[in-house]
Amino acid sequence: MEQSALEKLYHQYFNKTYRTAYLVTGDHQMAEDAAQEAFFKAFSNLDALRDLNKFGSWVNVIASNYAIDMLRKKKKMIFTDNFAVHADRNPGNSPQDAWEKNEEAQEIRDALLLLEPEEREILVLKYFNELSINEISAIVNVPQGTIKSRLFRARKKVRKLLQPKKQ
Amino acid sequence: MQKITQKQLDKMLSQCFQEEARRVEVPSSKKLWADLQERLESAGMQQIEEKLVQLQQAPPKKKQVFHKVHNIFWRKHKYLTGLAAACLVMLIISLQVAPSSGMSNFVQRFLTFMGTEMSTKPALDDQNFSSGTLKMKTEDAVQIEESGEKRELPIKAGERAASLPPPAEGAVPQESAEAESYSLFIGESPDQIFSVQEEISGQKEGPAQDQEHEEQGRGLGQEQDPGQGFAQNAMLEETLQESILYDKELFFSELNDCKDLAPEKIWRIDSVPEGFAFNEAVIARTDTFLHSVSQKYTNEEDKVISLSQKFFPSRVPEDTQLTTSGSLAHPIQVGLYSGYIICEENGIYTITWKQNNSIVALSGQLAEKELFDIIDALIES
Repeated sequence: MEQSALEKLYHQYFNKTYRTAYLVTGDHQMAEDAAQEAFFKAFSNLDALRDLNKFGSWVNVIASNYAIDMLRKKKKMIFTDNFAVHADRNPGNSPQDAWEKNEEAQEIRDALLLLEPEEREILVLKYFNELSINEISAIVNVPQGTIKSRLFRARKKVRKLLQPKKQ
Repeated sequence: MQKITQKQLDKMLSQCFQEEARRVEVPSSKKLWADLQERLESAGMQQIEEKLVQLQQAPPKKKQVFHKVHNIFWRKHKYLTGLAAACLVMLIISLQVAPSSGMSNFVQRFLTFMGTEMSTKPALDDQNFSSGTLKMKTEDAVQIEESGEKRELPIKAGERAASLPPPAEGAVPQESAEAESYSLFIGESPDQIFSVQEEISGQKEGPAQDQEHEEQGRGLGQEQDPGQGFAQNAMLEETLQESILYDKELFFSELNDCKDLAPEKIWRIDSVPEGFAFNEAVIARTDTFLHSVSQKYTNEEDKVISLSQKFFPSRVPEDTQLTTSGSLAHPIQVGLYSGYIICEENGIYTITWKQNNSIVALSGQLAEKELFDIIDALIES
């Protein structure tokens, strides 16, 4: 049976959208729900889209917003001030290069986990989806200045969490 | 302390996300499409399809492409352009007010290169242009004729052709002015040949790139824990000592003594629902490593609240299962860690989450919200 245009579009962008949502939530079930909701909303509001080439970016941002909402509903904050201690007490470096590389990647992943969901979202959109500040701003309908300051804060936090490791 | 530069951070984040995304196992979109299709059909799938076809047939918008290119250009060059504009203004001002000096020559040359059309006032001193002829050997070169009182610096070749008087004696012929070099000849002395590129490159040394000047946060502590770096096998060979403590204060004191052996902070319950009291705690440790801590609170109805934390000398393995098979577990976000909440048939809730170097489990025959409140009130030893 021939695929409809909608179905083709769905299969074309599903993987990236799912991954975007997963990177924000870190949870498969939430990622799946967020991706499905995002496609449903995007398809239901196709009138709002003027350029089909932007569909991918658009649906990814919608998915990340849904992911944030889901996190907010489920999230319980326990220890907001003591992340540094967690980051500090990771195992030390190994002399092996490969191991060090894995360790570094792990440290970055840990640092990303310690970010607020909104901060993680902006980094995912910027560095995984490779969207510019203009594009993010246009899609989420938030002023560029706000996006910039969120990005600044997120980077600053990541840098602060990673800094002691780079001595 | 070595600072992580913006570029390094950008690269690290990019790589990290790409690697992380590659690891993600994406479920089959075919099955999920079937679910979505049902929802879309109830929302008018036929109309949506039509809209999509319209969108696919819509021509691309050229204006936006231009706009994008335009934006990219200005974003990239805004500092340089601003600097050049500021320099130009300064130079015009200094040209107007400064007495004749060696500076005037530089000003003229700079303006010449910038391709700016301007006419200097006849009142300005001409003595620095006494060599007579100023030629720029480029297609857009500017010719300054000093034979009369009038000096003109036309911008474009076309304008120049229209506005220039016939070449004076000693001037470079028009044909020879077509050259690749950006050299500027002032008069005929070889000593006065300057490379305009060099001069301009000197001018370009302006503000650095858009660097975020971020205050360096305080260090996150650099001490290595005594318990770190020990291989798990070696640790297991040591004798495991289990202390069972029935006194709350003694438990806290013991925790304080062995907290340095833990690779991560130790949580303890600080607030429990009314009627519950400390019952007992168990600390399992070797001489070099804190293995686990569990604490139990009970009430008169023999309901139990227990918190246990098991530590790992290295990172908790990715594939560690937090749930037992067959139990109905729902994912939950505990602070910044992912975990599960499990409700057993007897009404006991257990919330388990995985931290960097430990797995924590809180359980109790309480309402879900009461357990959340206990988690909210956990404190570190």
